[in-house]
Amino acid sequence: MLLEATEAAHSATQAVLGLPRGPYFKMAEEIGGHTLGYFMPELIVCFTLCLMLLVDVSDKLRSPRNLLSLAFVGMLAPLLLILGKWGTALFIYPDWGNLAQAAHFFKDHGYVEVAGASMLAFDGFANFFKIFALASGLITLAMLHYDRSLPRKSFGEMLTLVLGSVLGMMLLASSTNLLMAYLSIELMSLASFVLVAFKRSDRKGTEGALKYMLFGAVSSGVMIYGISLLYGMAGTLDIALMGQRLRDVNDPLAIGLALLMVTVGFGYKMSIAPAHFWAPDAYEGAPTPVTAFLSVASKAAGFAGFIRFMDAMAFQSTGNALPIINWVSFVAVLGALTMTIGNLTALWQRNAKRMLAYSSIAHAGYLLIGVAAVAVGGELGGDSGRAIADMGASATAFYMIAYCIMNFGAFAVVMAVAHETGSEEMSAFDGLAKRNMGLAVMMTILLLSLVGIPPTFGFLGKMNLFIAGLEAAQAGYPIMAVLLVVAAVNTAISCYYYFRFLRAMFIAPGEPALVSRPLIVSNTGWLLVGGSALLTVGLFLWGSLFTAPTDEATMLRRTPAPAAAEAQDASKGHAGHGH
Amino acid sequence: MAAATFQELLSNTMFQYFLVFVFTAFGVVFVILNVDVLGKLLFRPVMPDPLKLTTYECGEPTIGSSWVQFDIRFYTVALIFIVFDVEVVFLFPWAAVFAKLGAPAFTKVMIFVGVLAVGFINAWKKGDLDWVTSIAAHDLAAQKDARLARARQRALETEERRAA
Amino acid sequence: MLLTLTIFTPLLFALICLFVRDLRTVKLLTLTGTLLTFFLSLGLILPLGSRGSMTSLAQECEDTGKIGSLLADLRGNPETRNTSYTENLAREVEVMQRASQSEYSSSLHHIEFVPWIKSFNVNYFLGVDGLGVALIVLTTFLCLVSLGAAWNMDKSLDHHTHKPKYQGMRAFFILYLILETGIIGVFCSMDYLLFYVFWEVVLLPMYFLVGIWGGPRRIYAAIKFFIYTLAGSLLMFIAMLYYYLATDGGHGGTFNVVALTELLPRHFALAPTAGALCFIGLFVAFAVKVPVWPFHTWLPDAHVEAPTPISMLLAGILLKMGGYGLFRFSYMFMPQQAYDMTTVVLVLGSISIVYGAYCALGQTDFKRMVAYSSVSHMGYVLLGMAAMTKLGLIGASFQMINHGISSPMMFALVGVIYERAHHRDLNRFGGIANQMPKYAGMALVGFFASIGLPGLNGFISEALVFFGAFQSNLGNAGDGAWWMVWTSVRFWTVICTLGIVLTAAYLLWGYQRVFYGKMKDPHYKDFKDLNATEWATLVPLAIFCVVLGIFPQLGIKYLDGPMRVLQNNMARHVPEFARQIEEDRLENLNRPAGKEIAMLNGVYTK
Repeated sequence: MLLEATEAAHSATQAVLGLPRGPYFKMAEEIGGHTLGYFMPELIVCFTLCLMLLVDVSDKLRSPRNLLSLAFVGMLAPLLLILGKWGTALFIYPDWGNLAQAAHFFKDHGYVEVAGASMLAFDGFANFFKIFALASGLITLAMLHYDRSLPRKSFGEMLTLVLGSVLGMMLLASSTNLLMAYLSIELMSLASFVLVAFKRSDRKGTEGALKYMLFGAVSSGVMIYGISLLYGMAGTLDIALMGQRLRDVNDPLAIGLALLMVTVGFGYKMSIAPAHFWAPDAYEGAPTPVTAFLSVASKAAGFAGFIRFMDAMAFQSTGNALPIINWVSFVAVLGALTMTIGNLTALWQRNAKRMLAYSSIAHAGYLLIGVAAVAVGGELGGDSGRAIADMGASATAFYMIAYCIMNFGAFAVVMAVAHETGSEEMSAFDGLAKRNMGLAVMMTILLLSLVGIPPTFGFLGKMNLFIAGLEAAQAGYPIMAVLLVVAAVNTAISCYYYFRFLRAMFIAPGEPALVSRPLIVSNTGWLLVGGSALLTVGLFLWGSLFTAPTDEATMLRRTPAPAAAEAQDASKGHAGHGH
Repeated sequence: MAAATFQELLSNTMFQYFLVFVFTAFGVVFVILNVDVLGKLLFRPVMPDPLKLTTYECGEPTIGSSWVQFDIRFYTVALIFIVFDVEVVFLFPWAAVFAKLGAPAFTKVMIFVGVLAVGFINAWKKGDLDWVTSIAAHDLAAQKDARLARARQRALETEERRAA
Repeated sequence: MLLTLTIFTPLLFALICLFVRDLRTVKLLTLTGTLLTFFLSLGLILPLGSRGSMTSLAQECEDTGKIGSLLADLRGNPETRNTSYTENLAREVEVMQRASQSEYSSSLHHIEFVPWIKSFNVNYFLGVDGLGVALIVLTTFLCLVSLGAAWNMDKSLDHHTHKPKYQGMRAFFILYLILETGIIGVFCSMDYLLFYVFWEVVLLPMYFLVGIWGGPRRIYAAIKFFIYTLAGSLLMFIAMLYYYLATDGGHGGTFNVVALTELLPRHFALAPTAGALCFIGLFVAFAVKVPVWPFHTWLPDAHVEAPTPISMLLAGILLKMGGYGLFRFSYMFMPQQAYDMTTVVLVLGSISIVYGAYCALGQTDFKRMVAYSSVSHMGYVLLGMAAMTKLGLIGASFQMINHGISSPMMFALVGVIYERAHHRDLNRFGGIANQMPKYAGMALVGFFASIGLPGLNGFISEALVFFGAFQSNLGNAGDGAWWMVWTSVRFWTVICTLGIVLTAAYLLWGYQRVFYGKMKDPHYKDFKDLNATEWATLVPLAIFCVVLGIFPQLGIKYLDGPMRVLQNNMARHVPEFARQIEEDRLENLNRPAGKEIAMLNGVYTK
C-alpha cells in the first residue's frame, strides 16, 4: 500500500512538471489509477503556504506587495484549476435553463485514498465549496490590502494564516471521513483564532479570540467524543459507510447522543444557536477583513461539512429503532432559534460590526432551511427524497454565494467609514449620504440584499431557500412550513435594524463639522464596495447565471468508495455490534 | 427462567448503561457517605484550624500570588521543541525499515522534514529562538514603529493644513 | 412596447436627473417625465375603446403571435429544444390557449413576453386589461398632479427657524420617479414574480420619501409602513412559491398569472387546506396595503407624517395596489376559498367602514381625519368584493378609482392650509371661507365627493356597492336559520349604511370647523388664496370628481369586462356560486323592482 502511494506521489510530481500540457481533468486521467492528481489544488495552496513562510523571513523579498501577490497567485491558481473543469461546460451550454444537460458533465468524480480508506471526495459539492473558500480568500486579500489599520510588519503572517484557514476549508469541503473532517476543522480554527487576535494591543480582539478559542476547544472536544462513539458503533469513520451501518445498530440513545455531539462541533463553525456565543465578540474584536472572512468562508465550510454529514445520517431507520434525534425537527428548531436569536439581539446593537455579526448568525438560521430540506430528503429516501435533498443543498449553496457578495460588501463599507471616522459605531454612519452619496447608495443596495428585497441577488437566494423548504413541507413535513413562516417574520424584523443604517446615512443630520467633509474612498475600497453592489443587482437581473454551479453542489457522493466497501467486507468480523 | 431473563438483560445495551449508572452512583454515594457523613460522625476528629487551609509548599509559608506570568518565550520554545519531538516519533519507525523501503519513502520523509524545516527557519529568522538579543530587537523594532508613526502623523497634518 | 415605455420612462428620467445638479432643471425634467408617461398611458386606453388594432393574449398565443413565435424559435434551436424552460413554455402556451376561450386572456392587451430567469420559468410578461389600464392612468395622472404639490416644497420655510424646511429636493424628485415606475409595473405585470419585484420596488422610495421629507414622527412612520408591508408581502411570497411548486408539471412550475388562474383552482380543489392557508397569506398581504382593519394602524401614521404630494400618492395609488391584488390574485387564483371566506372579508370590510369613519369623527388633526376616511372608504371595496354581484364588483373597482381621485384632493386641500397655518388642528381653524373663498369652493367639491353627494364621483361607486351588496344572497344562503343572519351580506350592508351617516358627520363637521364660524387666530387675516401651483393641483382633480360623477360610464366601461371575468371565473370553479347567481337572477326578476334593477345592470354594464 505504501509503495503504491509512493508511486502516486512520483507520478504526481511528473504531472506537476507536465502541467502546461493539458487541462486539469485530462491530467488526472493521465495519472491512471492514481488519484493524487485530484489533490492538486490543495497541494498548490500547501506549497504557497510554505513558500510564504520562507519569503516572509527574507529581508529583500518581504514587501507587503510581494507577499500579497504570492498569496494571490497561490489561491487564484487552484481556483482556475477547479474552474477549468466547469469552464468547458460554461461555454458549451450557455443556456443555464437546461440544467440536466449541463449536469452530466460533472459525473466523473474521484477520491483520494490514504492507507486504503477514502478520505476525500472530489465531487461537485466539494468543488463548489472549494471555489467558494478560495474566492472568499481572494476577496479577503483585497480587504486586507485595503485595511490600513493593520500592522504591515506582520502582514506575511496574516496572509499565511488566511491561506492555512482556506486550506482547512477546502479539505473540510471534501472530507468523507470524520477524522479528516475533524482535522480540517482544527486546521481552519487554529488559524482563525490567531487571525482574530491579530491586533495584539486591542483588548476587544484579545477577548474575542480567547472566547473563540475556548468555545472552539470545548466544541471540538465534544465533537471528537461523538466521533469516537460513532466509530465504536459503526466500526468505520467513512461517513457514507457509517450511515449505512448505523441503520442496523439498535441503540437510539447512544446514536442520538453521538450525532448531537458531532453536530455541536459543526454548529460552532456555522455559528448557530446555541453554539453562537463566541461569534459576536470574535467578530467585533477581529480586524474587519477577518470578520468578513470568518462570517462568510468559515461558516460556509461548516455548512459544507454538516450537509455532507447530515446527508448520510438522516435516514428513516429501517432497522430496530429510530435514532433519538429527529433530524428534521431538530434542524428546523435550531434554524428557527438561530434566526430569531440573531435578529432579536441585533436589534439592540450600537456597533455596526457587532450588528452585522448578529445578522450573520441570523443568516446561518436562514441557511438551515436548506439543511433541513436535506434532512427531509434523507429521511424520505429514494429518488424523490434525493431530489429534495439536492434542492436543499443547492439552495444553501446558492444563498451562500449571495451572502458572500453582500456581506463582504457591507463589511467593506464599514471599513471605509471606519478609516475616515475611526469608529465602527452606528453613529459613524450619521449623515453619510452627505459625505459620500455613492457609498451610501451602494450600502443601501447591499442592505436590501441582506434583507432579501427584490432587485437584489439576496432575494433570489432567499427564494431558492424558500422553494426548497416548501418542497420539503409538501412532502409531508408541516414543521418546515412553520419554519418558513418564522423565517418570513424574521425577515420583517431584520429590516428594522438594517434600516437603522439607512436612517443614519440618509435621515440623521450628523455632526456638522464631519458632514461638511467628503469621505474619501480609495480605489481598492471602490472595487470592493462597488463590485459587490453591482454584482448584487446584476446577478439578480441575470439571475439564472448562477444556478448551474450550485446545481453542481448537489452532487454529493452518497455511496461508500470502493476501497471502503472492500474494507467493509474485510472488517465484518469485528465491526457491527461492537459492544 | 430467571437466568434466561438475566442473559437477555445483559445483552441489552440499555441495561449495560444502567449498570454503569448504578456503579457510578454507588461509587459517589459510597465516598460521600464514608468521608462526609459516617467519617465525620464516627471516626474522624473534627478540629478546624486556619493553618490547615493554607497551601502546603515545602513547609514554608507562600509569598505573593501564585498567578505569575511566565515569559511568553518559554511557550514558543516549548512549542518548537514539541514539534520536533513528535517528528522523531514519526521518524523512528521509518528508520527501522529504511533499507527495505528505499528511495521513494526517503523522498517523502524528506518532504515531511522539509515542511517542518520551513517552519523552523521561519521561527529562527523571526528571532523567536534568540533568548537575549530578542529584547534589543524588540526595542529596535518599537523605535522604528514609533518613528514611522510620527512620520505618518506629520504627513497627515500637512495634508490637513493643505486642505484647510 | 408601449407598456415597457410607460413603465420605464420615469426611471429613465430619474437616471437623467442623477446627472443634473440644478434643482430647477430636475423639476422640469420630472414634469416632462411624468407628462410623457401620462400621455403614453393614455395611449394604452385608445385601442381598448376601439377594439381595432390591439393584440390580445388569444392572438399572441397563435403561432403568428409573439409568444408563439418565441416558442417556435426555442423549438427550432437544437440547443434549446429540450430544455425544461421550453417544455414549460409549451405548457404555458397551451394553458393560455385554453384560457383564451375564457374571457380573461382575451381581455388582456398590450402583451409583452420575453424570457427572463429561465431556470425558474420567469418571464418578463406584461399585459393590461381594463382594471389595469384604469389604475395605470390613475397612477400617471396622480403622479402628474401631485407634482403640483411638490413644486414649491423647496421654497417653503420652517416657521420657527425661517430656513428652508425641505432639503435635498433633487433626490426627492428622483425617488418620486422611481416610485412611479414601481407602481405602474405593479399594475401591468402578468408574471407573479415580476409583480412581486415591482411591489417591493415601491416600498423603498416610499420609505425614503416619508422618512426624509416627512413630519416630526417621520422615522417611526416610515419604518412602521415598511415593516407592515414587508411582513405582509413575505406571506404573499411564501404563497407565491407554493403556487410555483403546486403547478410543477415536471419542468418546473410557473409564475405566469394567466396560467396560474387556470391551473390553481383545479389544484386547490384537491388541496383545500393549502388553499385556505394561501388565501389567508395573500389576503393579509393585500389587506395590509388596502388597509383593512385590524391591519390599518400604519396608515394614519404614514399618511400624516408624509409630505403632501406623498400623502396624495399613498392614499391615491398605494392603497389601490392592495385592492388590485385582491381582485387580480386572491379572487382569481382561489375562487373556492374566496367564496368560503366571504363572511370574513365582509366582516372585516364592514368594520373598516364603520370603525374608520368613527375614528375620523374623533380626530382633531385635519390630516389624520382624512387618513382615517381612507380606511373607511376602502372598506367599500371589500364590501362590494364580498358581495360578488356584478353591481357590487363594479362598484368596488370603481370605488378604487373614485377614492383615488377624491382622497388625494382632500390631502392636497390639507396641504394648502397647512402650508399657511403651520398646524392642522381642526379646533384652531375657523372662518377661512371669508379669507380664502376660492379655496373654500374647491374644498367643497373635495368634501362632497368624499361624502358621496349625488353628481360627484363618490356617490356612483358607493351607491353601486350598496345596490350590489344588497342584491347579494351570499352568506345566509337563503334558507339559513335566523340566528345565522349575521353571516349574510345583506345584514352587513345594512350596518355599513351607518358608515355613510358617520362620513357625512365628520366631513361636514370638519368643513364647518375649518371654514365657517369665527376666525380663531388673527394671523389668518394674512392668508392668501390659492396660488398657481395649487390651482394646478386641485382643478384637474375637481374636474375629474365632477366628470366621473356625471359620466361614470367613462370609468365603468373599462371595469365592466374584468369584473365579469372575475365573476365568471368564480362561477366556473364554485358550483354553489354558479347556482346561486342563477337563482338570484330569477328571484330578482320576480321582485317588485326586479325589472328596473335588471335594466340598471344593463345600463351600467353594457
